[in-house]
Amino acid sequence: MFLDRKASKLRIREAENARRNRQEIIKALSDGQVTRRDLFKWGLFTVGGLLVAKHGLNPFVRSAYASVPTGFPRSPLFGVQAFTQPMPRFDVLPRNPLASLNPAPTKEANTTQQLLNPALEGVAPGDTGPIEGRPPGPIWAHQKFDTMPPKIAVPVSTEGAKVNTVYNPQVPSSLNSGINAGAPFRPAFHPGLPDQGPNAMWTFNGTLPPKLLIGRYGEGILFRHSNKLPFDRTQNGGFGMHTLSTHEHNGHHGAENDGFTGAFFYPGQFYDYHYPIVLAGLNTINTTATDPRAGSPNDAGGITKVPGDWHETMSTHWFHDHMFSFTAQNVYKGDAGMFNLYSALDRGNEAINDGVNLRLPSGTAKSFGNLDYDVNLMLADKAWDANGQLHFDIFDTESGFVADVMTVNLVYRPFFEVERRKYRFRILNGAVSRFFKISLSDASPMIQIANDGNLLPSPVVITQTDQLGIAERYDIVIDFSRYSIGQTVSMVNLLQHEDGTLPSSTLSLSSALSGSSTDPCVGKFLEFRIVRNPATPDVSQVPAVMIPNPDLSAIPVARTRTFVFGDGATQNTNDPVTSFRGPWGIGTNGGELLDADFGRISAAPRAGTREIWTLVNDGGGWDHPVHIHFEEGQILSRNGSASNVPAWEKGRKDVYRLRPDGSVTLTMQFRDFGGMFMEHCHNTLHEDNAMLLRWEIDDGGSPFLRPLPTPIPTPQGVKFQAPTQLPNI
Amino acid sequence: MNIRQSVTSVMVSLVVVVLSALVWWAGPPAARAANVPITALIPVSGIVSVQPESVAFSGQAKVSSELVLDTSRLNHPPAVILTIDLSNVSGTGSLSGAKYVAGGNGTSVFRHLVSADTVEITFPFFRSTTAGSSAAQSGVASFALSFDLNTGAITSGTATIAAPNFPN
Repeated sequence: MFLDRKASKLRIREAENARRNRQEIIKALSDGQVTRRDLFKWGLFTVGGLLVAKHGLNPFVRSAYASVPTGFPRSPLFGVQAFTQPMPRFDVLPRNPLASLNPAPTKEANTTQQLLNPALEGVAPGDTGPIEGRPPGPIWAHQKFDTMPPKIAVPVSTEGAKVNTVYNPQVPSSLNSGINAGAPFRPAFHPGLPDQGPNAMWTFNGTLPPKLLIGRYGEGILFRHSNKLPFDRTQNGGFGMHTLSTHEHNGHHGAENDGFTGAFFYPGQFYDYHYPIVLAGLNTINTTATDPRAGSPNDAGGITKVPGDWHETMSTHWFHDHMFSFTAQNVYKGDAGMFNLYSALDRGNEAINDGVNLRLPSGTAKSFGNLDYDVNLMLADKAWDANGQLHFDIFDTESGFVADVMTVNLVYRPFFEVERRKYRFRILNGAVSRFFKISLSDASPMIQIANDGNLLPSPVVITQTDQLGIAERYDIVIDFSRYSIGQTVSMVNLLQHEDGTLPSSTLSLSSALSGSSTDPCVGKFLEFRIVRNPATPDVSQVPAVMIPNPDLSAIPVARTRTFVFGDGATQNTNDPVTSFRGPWGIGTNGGELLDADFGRISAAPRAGTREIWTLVNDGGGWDHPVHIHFEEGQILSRNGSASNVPAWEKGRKDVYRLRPDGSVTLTMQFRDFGGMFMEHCHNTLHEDNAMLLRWEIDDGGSPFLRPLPTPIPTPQGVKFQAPTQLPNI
Repeated sequence: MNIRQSVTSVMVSLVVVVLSALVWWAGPPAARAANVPITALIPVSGIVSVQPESVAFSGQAKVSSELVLDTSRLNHPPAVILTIDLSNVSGTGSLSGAKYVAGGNGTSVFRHLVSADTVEITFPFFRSTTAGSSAAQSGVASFALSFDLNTGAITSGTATIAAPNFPN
C-alpha cells in the first residue's frame, strides 16, 4: 500500500497518523494486551472482521488518504538507486553429521525439562517446560524414523537480524556477481539503506541472504529448528509473533514434520523436523527399488535407487513459518528459505549422461547439487518506515498487504552477472499478498520447466509467465548465449496491484517499462549483466520430455469434495487458542463458510485412496492461491473444462490459483504418511483471517487415534484436547 | 480495417458464445463459479522482422473474454480475464518459405472492462520442425478490442503482429 511520492504533505501527514494509530493496535494485539475479540467488542472490528470506517484506521476510507487504499507514505530510499548492488545467492545451510546434534534426536519429542524464562507469557518464576516444542507422545512421533532414519543434521535458528559472518553461497565470487562471501554481510536491503534491527527482521539464523537447504532423495534430514526470538513477545518491532511452526512446503513427510499451524514452539525451545525425502508411493510402487529413474544422486556420480514412483520426483520447495494467525507477519519479517531437492532425474549436474539425468543447467564440479548455473530467486515486496525498518499492516484483512519496494533475495532491485549460456532460475513468490507476472525486458523467450515443486511433463516456451501466485514456484531456463558481452537484460513485473485482493491489471511489456504505473513494484526488478563467455562449453539441456504425471486412471475415486473460498464467514467454535475470527472462510461440501479453527477437522481422506477436490472462489473481487499440504495434485479442469488448463499447469502442483470467480478441480492420492494437515489460501493475510482448514489422513490401521487430538502448546508443555469435526468428513 | 473480416469474426463469436454457454451450464454446480467465457476470433496479421529471416504471420487468434464482477464491499470495477490462443496463427519465412508456429497459448491478461482497449502481448514462435526448442524467437501481438460493457464480450477486434522493440 502506498501513496504517490507527489502526494500532498497533508495527505502524507494523515497517512502517517493512520499508520501510527494502526501500529498501536497491531502492537497491542501482538503483545497480547488486547485480543481480536476485544476489538470486536469495542467496535473497532465489524463482525465480518473488517476494521470499522473510522478516520485513521480503516484503509478503505478512501477520502481520508488517497485512491490507493491505506495511503501509507512511500518507503524512503535514502538516495539509493536500483541496480546498483549485486544480487546475493542464497546462503547454503551446512549439512552436518547426525552425531553433531546435542541432544541426539529422538523418535518422540524430547521432553527433558528446562527452567523457563519468566518473560514468556504465562510463565511464573521456577516453571519448567520441555526443551522440544514438538507435541509429545506416539501420535507426534517421527513416522518411519526407524526404517528411514535421518542421515544429515541441519541446525537452524530463527532470530533477530544480525551481521552474517559465515555466508556460504557454494559458488565462487565470480558466479555471485563479485560478492566476497568472506566479508560481513549486513542485514540491509541495500548497502546504502539502514540495517534492520533485531526486532524488525527475523530470519533463519538471523542473517541475510535467505537460506537454502540442499537435500537428496533417500537421505533423510533432521532439521533442528531452535527458536531464538525474544522471550518477551512485545519485543517484535510492532508486528510478528515469537512462537513458530515451520512448514516444509510441500514435503511428503509425516504431519509431525509439516509445520502444522497449531504445533508451534516457544523461544528457548527447538523442534526436530524429520524430512525423510522419499518418493510418494514408496509402500506400493517400485517397492524393491529397481527402477533407476527412482533414485538419488550418490557421491560417485551414480544413482542410489530408492523405492517409490519416479513420476513423483520433486525439485523446488521452500520452508516458512506457519504460526496460526501470524504467518503473514512472520514470513514478511523474513522467516522463509528455499529447499532444492536432488534426484536421479534432476541431478544438479549437467554433464552426467547416463540416460536418466535430465542434465538441466546447474554445473559439473560436484556429483550433485551444483549451483553455478542453478539460481534461487525469492521475490517479495517490502515496505519500511522513516527509519528504514520493516513496516507491515495487518489491517488489510479484507484484501491483503502489498508493499512498494521490490526485492529479490531480500535486497532492493539488484543486478546479477551471468555468462553467455543457459541458467536455471527457481523463482519463488515469497510475498504475502502480491502476485507477479514476469517477462524479460526484450521479450526474449524463456523455457518454463517446472511449476511449484515439480518438473513439468514437457517444457513450455514462453515470453511471459502466467501469474505467479503467492507461494507458487516457477523454474525457468534462460539462455543468455543470445546476448553479447556487455549487454544487459532485465526481469520485468507486468502485474499491477492497487490492493492485496488480486492484481488490478496486466500491463503490456512496453507499458510496464514506461514507468507510468501507479504501482512501484511494476517494471524492472532484476538486471542481468552479461559479463563473459563460459569457461567451458554449456552442456546442459532442456529435454523435450521431463517427468510425465503419475497415471492415476486405474485408481478408483473414493470421494469427491468441494471447498468454497469466500468472505462473510461465520465461526461455530469459541476456543481461545484454536479458533479465530476473520472476514474469510471456507465452506466444505456445501456447508456454510467457516472461519479457521485448527481444532476442527473438515475432511479425512482414507489412507491409500484417491479423491477429487474442487476448489471454488465464490467472488469476483479477489483471487485465492490455495495451498493443499502434503500431497501433489493434478489439475483436471478449470471452471469445469480440461481445455482451460494451460500447458504450464499440466504437471503436479501444490498451489492452485483459483482466479476471480473461478474454480479448479484436481485429483490427489493420500498415502505413505498420516496425521493432520492443512488447506488454506496462501495470500497469507487471507490465511491469517481466517481462510484455513484442517484435514487429516484418517487411517484406522495406523498408530493414530481417530480423530486426532488437537495440540495446545504452552511453554510448560503441549496439552491436548478433543477435536471438533464437520459431519460426514 | 477489413469490414467483412470483422463481421465474420463477430458472427463466429456469437456461435462460440452459445457453445461456450452450453458447455458451461453442463458443468457440475461446484465448478460453475465463473461467468460465461465468451470467445471471439480476431483476425491477425503482420511481419516480424528478425534474423535470419522475416516471418509473415496471419490467421485468427482465439480470444476468450470472461467478465469479472466484484459484488463485495471492495467494489472493484468490472474487469475481464482475456485468454489468448494463437494456435491458429502461423507464419512463413521470407527466405526459406518455412512454416513458423506461434506458442504461448493460454496466455491470460486481466484488464479493467472498458469499451475499447488495446491489449499487447508477447509470444514465442519457432519453425514448426523445432517447436518447443530453445531456438524460439519472439513477437508482439497488439489487439484493438471493443467490448460489450454488460457482458464483457468482445464485439469487434483486430490485431497486428510485429517484432519486439522495447527500450532496454
